[in-house]
Amino acid sequence: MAKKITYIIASIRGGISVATHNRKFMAGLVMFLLVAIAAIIGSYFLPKSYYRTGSFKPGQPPNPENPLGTDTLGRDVLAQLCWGIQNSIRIGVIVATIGTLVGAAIGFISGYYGGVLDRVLSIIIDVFLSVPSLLFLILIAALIRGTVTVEIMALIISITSWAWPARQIRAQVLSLKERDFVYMSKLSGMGGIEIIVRELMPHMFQWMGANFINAFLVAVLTEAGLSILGLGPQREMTLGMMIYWALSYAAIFRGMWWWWSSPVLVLIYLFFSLYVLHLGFDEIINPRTREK
Amino acid sequence: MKKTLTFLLALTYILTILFATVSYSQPLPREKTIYIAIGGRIADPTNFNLYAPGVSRSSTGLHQMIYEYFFYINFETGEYIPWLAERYEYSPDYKSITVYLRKGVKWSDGVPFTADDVVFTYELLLREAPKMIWSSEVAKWVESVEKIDDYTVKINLKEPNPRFHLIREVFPVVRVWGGLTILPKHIWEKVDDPVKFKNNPPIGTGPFKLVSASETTIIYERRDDWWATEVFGIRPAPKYVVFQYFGPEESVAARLAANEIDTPFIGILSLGTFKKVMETNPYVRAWYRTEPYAWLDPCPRAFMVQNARYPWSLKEVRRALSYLINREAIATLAYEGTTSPSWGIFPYYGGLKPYFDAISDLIEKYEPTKYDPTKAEEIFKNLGFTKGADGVWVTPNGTRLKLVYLVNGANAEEMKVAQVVADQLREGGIDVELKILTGPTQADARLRGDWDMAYQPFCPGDTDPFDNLELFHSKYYVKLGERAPWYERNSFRYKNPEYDKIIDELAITSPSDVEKCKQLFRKAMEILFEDMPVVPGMQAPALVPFNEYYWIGWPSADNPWNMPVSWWAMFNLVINGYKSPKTGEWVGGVRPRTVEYTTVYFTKDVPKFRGVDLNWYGPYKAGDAARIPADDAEFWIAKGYASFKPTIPTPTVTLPGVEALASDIKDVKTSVDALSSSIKELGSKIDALTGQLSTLMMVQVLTLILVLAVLALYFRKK
Repeated sequence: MAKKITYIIASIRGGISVATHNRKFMAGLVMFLLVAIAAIIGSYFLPKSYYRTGSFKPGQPPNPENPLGTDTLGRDVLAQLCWGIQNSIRIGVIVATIGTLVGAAIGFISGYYGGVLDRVLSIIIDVFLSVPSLLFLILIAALIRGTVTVEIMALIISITSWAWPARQIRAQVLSLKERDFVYMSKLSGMGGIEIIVRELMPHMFQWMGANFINAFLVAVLTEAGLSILGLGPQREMTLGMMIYWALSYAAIFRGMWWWWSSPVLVLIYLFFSLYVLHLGFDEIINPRTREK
Repeated sequence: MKKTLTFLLALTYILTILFATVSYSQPLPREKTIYIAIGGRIADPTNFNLYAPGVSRSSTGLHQMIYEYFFYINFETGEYIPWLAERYEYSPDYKSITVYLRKGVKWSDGVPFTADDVVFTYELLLREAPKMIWSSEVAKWVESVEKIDDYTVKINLKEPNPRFHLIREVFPVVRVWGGLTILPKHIWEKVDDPVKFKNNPPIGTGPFKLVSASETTIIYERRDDWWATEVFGIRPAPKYVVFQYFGPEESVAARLAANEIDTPFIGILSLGTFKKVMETNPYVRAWYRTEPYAWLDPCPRAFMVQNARYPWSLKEVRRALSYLINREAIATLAYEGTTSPSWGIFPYYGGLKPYFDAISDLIEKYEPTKYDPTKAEEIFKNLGFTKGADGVWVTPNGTRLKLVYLVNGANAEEMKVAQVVADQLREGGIDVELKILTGPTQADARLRGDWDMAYQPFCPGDTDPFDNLELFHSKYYVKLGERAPWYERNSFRYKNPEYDKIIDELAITSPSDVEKCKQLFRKAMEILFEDMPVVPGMQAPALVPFNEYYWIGWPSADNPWNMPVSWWAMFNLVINGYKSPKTGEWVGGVRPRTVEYTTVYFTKDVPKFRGVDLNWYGPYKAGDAARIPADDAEFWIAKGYASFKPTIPTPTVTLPGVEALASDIKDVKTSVDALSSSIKELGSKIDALTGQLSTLMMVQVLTLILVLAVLALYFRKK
C-alpha cells in the first residue's frame, strides 16, 4: 500500500518536473494566473457597489477615477471586469471539475466492464456528443431564465461537458485493461472498482488533467455565448454578461470602445493562455509532440 | 468530361447573373417617394385583409394608405377631426349615435361610399363575432345599425355610453394606432369567408393604391382620382410611399444617414444610434432637436404592485416602494435622458391639460414622484418591520421582504429599467428577484399575478382620462392565479368600492360636460394618490426620427400640428394635413424640400386647389396663365384642363404673310419643345442605363474573375 502511494507521488512529482520544464505549459499557466490574481486583487479595491447602476456618471471614457471608463448605466467597467473574470473562472472551474469527474467515472465504468452497460453508456455518450451542445444549452437556459446565478449557469453548462472526457477515458481504458498488470491484479483477486482506482486511475491522471483544461476553456467560451444571447446570470457580472450589456446598448455603434473591448480582449487573452496551457499539457502526455 | 462540366457550370452561373440583372427594376424617383422603414418582414404579403388575425395593418401600410376613417383624434391639439363623416349626434339617453357621412366620398374603384357600406360592415362583424378582429368588442356594444338615408347612419347601443365615439375598436375613429375599418359592401358581400378572404388588391377610399408587395417591400402610388381631390382640392405631395424592411438597426441607421429613409417606425433606432446618425446627417431629427429628443408615447409606464399579496396589500408598503424608486436616475440611466418622471398614468399631452390643472394641488400634497429613502425607512419601522443582519427588512410575520419583479425579457426597455430599479430597491433593504420570462409564459404570469412588481404601460388615456381611470375598477378584479382581463386592466388586483362609485358616475357623464368630469377626475385621483395601487413611473418616450432632406413639414416640437406617427392610421393626415375643426383652415401636410415650378395655361375652369408645395392656387378661368408646381401642372394637363402652350388667339386683322409667319413660329416652337422634351427623356434614360451598366459591369468582372480562377485551378491540377 505504502509503496503504491510513493509510486503515485513519484509519478505526480515526475509529471510536475516534466511540466515545469515544458515552456508552453509554464507560459500558459503564468499568463492565466496573472489575470486571475489581478482580478482577485482588483476586486478588493473595486467592491461590488462600483457596478451598481448609477454609481458614477454614465458613459464616461477612461479617466483617473474610472481607469476603464463607465457604461451607460453608470457602472465602472474595471470593477465589472474584475468581478466578471472571477465569475467566469468560477464557472470554468465548476464545469471542468464536474465534467472531468463525471466523465472519468462513466468512461472507466463503460470501458472496464464492457458488455450491455458499455453499449448503453456509449449510446448516451454519442448522443451528447452529436447533439449540438449550444442548442441544447440555449433551450435549458431559456427554460429557467431569470433565476440564473453563476452556480446554476455552471451546472447548466456542465450538462454537456462530461461526454468528451468520458469518450476519451473509455477508449484508453479499453486498451489498458488488456495489459498484463491488469490481468495480474484480477488473478490476485482484486475487485473491479479496486482495479480501476488502484491500477488504472494513476495512468489516467494526465489525461484527466488535459480534459480539465479543455473543459475549462470550453466552459468560459460557452458562458460567454449563452450570456450574449441574454441567458446569463442577471444579478452577477461575467465576461459574457458584460458583452451582452454592451451589445444591448449598441456600444460598438456608439463608439464606446472601452466598454465592449475590455471583456472581448480579456476573453481572447484567457482563451489564448488556456490554449497554450493545453498545448503544453498535450506535449507532456504525448512525448512524441515534445520539442527535441 | 471534367472540362465540359466546368464549362457548363460557369455558363449556368453567368446566365443566372445576367437574368438577375435584367429583371432588376428601375428605382422610384427619390424626390417623389417617401421611404418608411418597418420593423420586420411581412408574414404574408398577399393578404390584405385587416380583419384576419395576424395580418399587420401598419407594416403593410393598409390603414395609413388604403383605408380612411370617420374621425381622427389629434392628441397634441385635442381636436376631433371629421374626415369620412361630417359630425355625430347622441340620443339624449346615450342609447344611440347618429353619424352624418360626408358626401362625395368614393371607393378607389369609383363606387360611392354610403351608409350601406357602414351598415354592411357592422352587420358583418356582428354576424362573424368573435372570429374577425375586434368583432367581439362590436358585439359587446352594438345592438343594431340602421340606415336613415344614403348619408346618415344610426347605431343603436346595448347600454348607454356617452363615449362610444371614442372607442376605436367599435367606431371608425382613429385614436391610438387605428380604428374600426369600414369595408366596401360591393366587394365584401360576395365573400364567403371574411376571415380567409385575402382582399388583394385592397379597395379603400384612401389617396394611394397598391402597386406591388413582397415580404420586404410594399409600394403605394398616388391616386389621381381620390375623392378628396374633388371635395377638398388637395393631393398628397409624394407620388410614391414605400414601406420597406431594411434589416437590423445598423442598416436602418446607415440608410437614414444616407438619406435613403425618410422615417423609420418606432422602436427600431435606439437613442445612441439615433444620436450617431444625427451627428453625421444634420437633416435627421426627432420631435425635439436636443434632449430629450423623443415625442411622448400615449402609454406612460407605472410599476404595478400586487395588491392581493401581503405585505404589498398594505398601502403604506406601496408608498414606501415609491419613495425608494429614484425616477430621475431611471430617466438618465435606463432612458438616457429621453423622458421624465410621471406622477400618474396619463401622457402629458396638450389635450389633457385642463384635467391636470384641476389636481395640481393634489400632486404637490402627495408627492407621487418623490425619491426619499429615509421616509421609506420610517414607514417600514412604523409598520413594525425590522432590518435583518443581511440588510434586508423582515416583516412582523418573520418573513424576509422578498420582491419578485416580473420582467419581459424580449422588451429591451423593461430589461434596462429593471436593472436600475432592482439595484435601487436592494439598496433600500428589499431582496429583489428578477423573474425574466418571454413569450406566452411571460404574458400568462403577468395576467395571473405571479409577481410582486411589474413595469407596465398604461394605455390609452390620451385626451379623455376616463379609460385609464376605469382600469382600476374592481369589476375587472379576479382572484390571484386567474387570468386578469388585461395587464393594466387590474392584474394588480385593486379593489375599492368608493372608487368604483366615482368611476360608475363618470361612465355615464358625457365627456363634453367638462366641469363635472373634472370634479369626478379630482375625486378619483385623490383616492389613487392615497392608495397608490400602482407606483407611478415614467412618461414613455417615443423616439421617431425624421429625415428632412427630401421631405419637410413633419410634425415636431417646433410645430406640433400633429403626431409623428408613420405606423398609425393618422399618417394619412400627416401626409395630407387636415381642415382644423377649431379654425376651419387647412393645417399641416408633408411637402418636398425643393419644388419645381412651371407656367401652365388653363383651357377649362379649375377650382381652388392645393399644390404639392402645400400652397393654395386658383380658382382659375379658361385662358388664365399661372406659375404652379410642375407636379400639379402635370396633373391638370393629364386631366385635360391645362396646357404648357398658350392658346393662340386667332388674329382678327389679316396681313399678308403674317398667318404663314405665325404658323412657322408655332411649328418652330413645337419642334423646339419636342426636342427639349426628348433630350430630357434621353438624359433620364442614360441615367437609368448607367445605373444598370455599372451593376452589369461589376457582375461581369466578378464572373470573369471566377471563371479565371476555375481555369487556373483546372490547369494547375493538370
